[in-house]
Amino acid sequence: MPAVVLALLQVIHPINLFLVTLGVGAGIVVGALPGLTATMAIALLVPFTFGMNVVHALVLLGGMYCGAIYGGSYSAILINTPGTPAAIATTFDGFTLAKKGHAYRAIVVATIASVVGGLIGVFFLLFLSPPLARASLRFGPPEFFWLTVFGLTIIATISPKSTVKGLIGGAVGLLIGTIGIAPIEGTIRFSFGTLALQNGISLIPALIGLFCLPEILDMIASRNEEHSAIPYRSQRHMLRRVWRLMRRKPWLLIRSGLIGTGIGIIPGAGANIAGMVSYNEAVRVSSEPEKFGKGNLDGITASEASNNAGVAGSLVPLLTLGIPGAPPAAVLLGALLLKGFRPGAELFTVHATVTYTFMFSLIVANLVLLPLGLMLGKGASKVVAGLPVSLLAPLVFFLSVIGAFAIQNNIADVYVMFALGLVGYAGRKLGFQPGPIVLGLILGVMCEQGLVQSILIGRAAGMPVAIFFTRPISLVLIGLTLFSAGWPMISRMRRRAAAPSHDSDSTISSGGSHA
Amino acid sequence: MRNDRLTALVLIAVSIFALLESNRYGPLSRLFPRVVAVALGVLSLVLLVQGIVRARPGYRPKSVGLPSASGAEPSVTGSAGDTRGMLFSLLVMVAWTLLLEPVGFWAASVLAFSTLVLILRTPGKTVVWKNILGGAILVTMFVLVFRIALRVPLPEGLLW
Repeated sequence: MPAVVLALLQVIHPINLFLVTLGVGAGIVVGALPGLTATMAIALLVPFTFGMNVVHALVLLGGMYCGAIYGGSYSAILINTPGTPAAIATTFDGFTLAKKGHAYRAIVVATIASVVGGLIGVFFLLFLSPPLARASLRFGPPEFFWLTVFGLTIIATISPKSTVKGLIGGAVGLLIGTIGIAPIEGTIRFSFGTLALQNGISLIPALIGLFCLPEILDMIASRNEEHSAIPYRSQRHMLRRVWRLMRRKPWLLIRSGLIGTGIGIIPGAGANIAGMVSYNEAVRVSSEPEKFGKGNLDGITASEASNNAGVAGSLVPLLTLGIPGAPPAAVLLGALLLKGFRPGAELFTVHATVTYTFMFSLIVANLVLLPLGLMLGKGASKVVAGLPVSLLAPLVFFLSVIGAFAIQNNIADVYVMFALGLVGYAGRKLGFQPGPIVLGLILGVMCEQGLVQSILIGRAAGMPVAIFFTRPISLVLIGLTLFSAGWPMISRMRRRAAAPSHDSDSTISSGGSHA
Repeated sequence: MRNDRLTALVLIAVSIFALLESNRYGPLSRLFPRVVAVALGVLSLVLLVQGIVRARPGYRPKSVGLPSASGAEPSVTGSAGDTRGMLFSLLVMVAWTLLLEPVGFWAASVLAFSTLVLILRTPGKTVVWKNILGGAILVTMFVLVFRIALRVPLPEGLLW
């Protein structure tokens, strides 16, 4: 019997269906807790899979990966703190909707987008793995450098109120990212002799601090009687209503899924960047860019479809070449090796049944996400809405503390989280948003590695500068960077031309906070 | 606008410090921090100039749609409603963070959680003991899950 048929029969086996559901459910819960990332969820689960057969283990871990990336959207929407870094862009519109009482609506959008994005990613994983993996290997240091520069142009989109302040935030993030051991020479930088700073600033504590603490402090400062910070409005047939809206923009879903898959495939880039790039593209092509950041469903769609597509995307180079596309995929690689499976051609020939069962199980995981995600999402929004500030604020702070600590079992990370939280709060009051700072922090290491390694390679080849401008993929990325950086200006000119009489009153003056 | 000028000056100082400090590192280790420090300095200078121009009498902001609006008014989310409550809460959070290791994760969290519930209560409306009990149960549950199921070695301190 062909391997594909065997795999199909295996995946619909009740035990595998149960394990997928269990993985997705557990992943959603872990992903929803700030600080507990998909990587950590999978790493914690791996020891429990030692005694399982390889199919059961992979099915469970794959479900967990999908669930955790999706689960990050819950806390992004409900408490303005991305549960996983992949959900940063979901906060921009998700939390604004939650504050208006539409948290469940935002979760329904995130769920549908995640399912569609995830299925797009699995499609490419199933049918186009080998050529895509080969293409991803053409990414060398110069390409990574330009990819991060392209990523930094997103700042213009996520800082609609002040581009200068957004860019300053990005630079501050990049500078924070240089704290610790230099990636090439190994020099310890900006640690001031402190042991805690020698390993640098971890992304997750920084993320929690910058997003979460300011929100808690604002929640306390603006609390009104014993009401919840997040109201809850119930609407009947929400799924049908939202789907009716979303199906009108199939290209948004498909484009976001493609961006997520593409970026997920590039080793090291991952879903964190995918969500931001996809959000940027959604704003850029939208006819109503001014509505983003104010509770626009398209913003959530772009972010969530893209980050879940990145899950399958990150598995393309993993299964074909043994190179993980993202940190959670690296842990999956460890699990595969532990079971005696070596990624590469063998996985698609000798162990084809196992490989295809795993791939099919990702389809099931994405389908399971819909009912399970909606059910858990409704429960979560009702619970958060039912909590008064006097209970919600300490609870969110407690989760922040435990999340920051658990990432490396290091108390210093809690101090870093708190210190950056205060910086984030002061920054918010001065008009600086956390998004650009975190973006700088995410892209900083990759950017520096790309820059320095390219210079070293260029020097060896006798062309230290030309290496940045002579490779085809680099040129495409430079073009995209220039286009993305120049787009706000082009867009402004087009707007001026379209509505010259409304110049004076078309400014986004309120409600556009991304925080 | 005054805030912008002060912020710009602080950031310029940070960028100068980063530039000087990076001189101590090797050529490949200082390259990137230097580039970023220069970029930060230049951008902060732009913010400073914007702040000075906008502070001049008779200045009228000129802005058009999104995404542009360089240097608009800072968004001040939240009201000044309960600044005192916020400051007290902040102090409790500082104590919470600092006591995690010496007192223990569970004990420090239950104590600080209960204190925050008391500070943030609405007299006559909040059933304080219910919230404190609920908070203690939640904290205990999470601590047990992290310690036992997830095997995270949370600091035990004096009181667990």
